Amino acid sequence: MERDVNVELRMTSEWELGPRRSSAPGLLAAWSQPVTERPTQLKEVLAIIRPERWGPTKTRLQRLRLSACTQSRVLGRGKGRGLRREPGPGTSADIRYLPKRMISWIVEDQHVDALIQAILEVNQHGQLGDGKIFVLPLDDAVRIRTGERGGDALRAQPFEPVRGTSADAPVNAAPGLPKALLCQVAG
Amino acid sequence: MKLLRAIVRPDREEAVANALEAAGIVSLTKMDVLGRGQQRGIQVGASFYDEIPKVQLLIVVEDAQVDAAVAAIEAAAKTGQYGDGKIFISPVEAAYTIRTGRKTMDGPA
Repeated sequence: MERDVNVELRMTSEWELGPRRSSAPGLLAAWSQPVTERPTQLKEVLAIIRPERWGPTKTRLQRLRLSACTQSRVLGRGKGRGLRREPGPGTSADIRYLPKRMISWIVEDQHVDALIQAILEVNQHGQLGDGKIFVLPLDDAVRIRTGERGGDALRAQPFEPVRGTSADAPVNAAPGLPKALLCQVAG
Repeated sequence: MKLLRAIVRPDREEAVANALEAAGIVSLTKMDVLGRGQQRGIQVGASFYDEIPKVQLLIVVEDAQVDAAVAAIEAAAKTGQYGDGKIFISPVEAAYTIRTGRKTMDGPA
């Protein structure tokens, strides 16, 4: 039950002292070390992809433990200006905007390349309309539940059971770089 | 490279798209959003609306095109009334064309 003790310690310290201000030695210090010593840069990766590729993309990214994202249905067009076609029986004229799926991931700097490789892998068909990926700088992130900032706001917390029964779901994922991602980066 | 987020009136969206196209900026993504500005919404009769439908356009352009894009959006979206919208400009560090996998880097980020 060592883990439970830590949870309690950490929660107490957060409520009493606020996050990042724990001065207790030992276990508590070990817990808070990554909080104070790992300032990381955050990036927003914004991808606009074909709607039907969103499912496979999601599955692929779960293997990278990068399942946290925000997605929305959007309309868009690229240099092809939508679909150009002749009106005829059964076909309408030009379609100005095509439905797309826009997904935003907020990740730490070191995860960006693996994420982009995975997106390219699933979505690259070599045809017009495959979409775009943009990488944007981001100043900070806040986990509203705990008030954690920066990379800590994104990292899975070690003592927290992650819901879901799929084999792909991260179970007690360690903080920092997940194993699966390490392999991906190395490979 | 810059990302322009333009929040405009839904009825001006078509005009903005055409103006951008005339300025040589064809690619855009649009989404329906709800929002409010400094007016805190609008009062119509007895009912108060604090979520006003708008269209958000996302456009990524080269640095040199930013001014032209902003001018085009402004010209097409402006009515002079409250609620014309806003344009936000933020830096883009890299862009990938998924079809080719090619990366376009910006200068020093």
